[in-house]
Amino acid sequence: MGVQRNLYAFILSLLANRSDAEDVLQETNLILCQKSKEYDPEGNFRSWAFNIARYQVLAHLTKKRRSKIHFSNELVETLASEEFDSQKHRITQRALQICYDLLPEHMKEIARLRFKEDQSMKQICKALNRPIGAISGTLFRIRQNLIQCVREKIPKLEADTEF
Amino acid sequence: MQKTEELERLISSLLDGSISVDDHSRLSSLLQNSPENREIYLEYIRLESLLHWETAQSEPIEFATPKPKLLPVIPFPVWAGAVAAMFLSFFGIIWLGTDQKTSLTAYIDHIIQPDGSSYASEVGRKAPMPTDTILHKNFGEAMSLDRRNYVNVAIASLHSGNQPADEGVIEYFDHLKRWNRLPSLLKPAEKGVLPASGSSMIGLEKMAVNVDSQTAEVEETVQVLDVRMAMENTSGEKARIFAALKVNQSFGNTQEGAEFGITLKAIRSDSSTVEHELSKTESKTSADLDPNTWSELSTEMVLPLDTQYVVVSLSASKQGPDSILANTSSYYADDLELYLSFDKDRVIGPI
Repeated sequence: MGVQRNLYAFILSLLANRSDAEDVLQETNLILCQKSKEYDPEGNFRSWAFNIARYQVLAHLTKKRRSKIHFSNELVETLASEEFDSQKHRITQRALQICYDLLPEHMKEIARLRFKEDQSMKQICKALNRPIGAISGTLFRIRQNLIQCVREKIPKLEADTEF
Repeated sequence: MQKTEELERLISSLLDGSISVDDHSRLSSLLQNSPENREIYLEYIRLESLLHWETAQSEPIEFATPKPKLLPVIPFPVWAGAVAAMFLSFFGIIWLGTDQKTSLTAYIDHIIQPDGSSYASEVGRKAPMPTDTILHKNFGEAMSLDRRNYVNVAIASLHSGNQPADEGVIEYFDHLKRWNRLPSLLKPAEKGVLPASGSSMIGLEKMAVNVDSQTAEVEETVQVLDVRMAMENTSGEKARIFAALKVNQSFGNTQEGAEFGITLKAIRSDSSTVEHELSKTESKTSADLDPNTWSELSTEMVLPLDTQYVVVSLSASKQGPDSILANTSSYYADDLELYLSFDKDRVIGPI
């Protein structure tokens, strides 16, 4: 469970596009299977997997460079070298379960369409009959709201897990 | 504060795919030059990835109430024709409006739910694991990728015994090892279907609908048995594997029961990427529309002497106009039992 989730977040941090990140995760998984013989059981599986994912991201960027907005390779490398804290990921997950429920109803509706149903911005605009600026403004407030709430909950949850 | 507000706004529009080229270069430089900004960026990414994967699991999924009462009121052929025509015409419009299979599937699922509730669109959003491909790619190709991938994952796990098996657990029996993905597919009673026994049953994923060929299908690799040790001790005895299963279909807007299948495949694998199929057997049955009754199916296969692994997969499929409505129903299995037997009445199982 854990490694997949972290790998996905790691890839997403470099691509910032969910469907691209999913594609790269799939490709990475295939390579992990194909190369499982090369993996040294004494080694660190996570960093091995992350490294393969990093190469897949770079390969993906080279392929797609022409058509989309992407970070430069330099920035990708900088972001890839940031420490990826899986403990923090777990705690955030628990905090988020609490915070998501606290969202005001009108935000929940848009959050549901965007995050759970994975609808595109266009689809959401159409479904709610609102302009794209309003939707992206609300999504920004939703994210900000959740980040704020998660930041507040984390110290308490961290303290709880220590006992 | 002002500064992070701008940063956060840019990150949010980046994640929504609505960022302009200028804003994107602005964001890039904000990230490139400041570790604090990168920390905030990663915080947003963490949130985004969790929202994408986790909230779906943390909240109960709302199921639409099916409306089976409609059926007897209108004579069958008229109703079926009208629905088929309605869906085909809907589909025609959508087909012109999109070239993307993913959103197409989402639309189809939406149309099917008259109240627009979320159950169908939940499909495949949770974990971008191999099963997810069913919705993202052409489904013929997705099936083979799905199966090959799980088999590889399973064999790698069985080999090392300790490889992190993200999906699937390793179980040990007398002279047998098994990679088992069923625990992650278990569901309690839902949509009018009670488990055939115990308190949980196997819920198959949504079917991948191919509108061109009017077929809908889901196939899941659920278990891989490592029979190497058991086969070594045979001294020429004939080994057989026997599998039994019960299947059921929930209420929905479909006219016919789905065809369920169980497939056993004997393979050997020289390296983790090469698998040779040695033998294969498949058994199918059509379920009825009554969610109270479970249909049974079973199959048996003689294992070739050089068999190393047995792959067990379950499938459900629909054909014709009914296939377009396939995901208004859910498909379940229960009581999967496997026996490995040898000539001299030696039996391993049920497992």
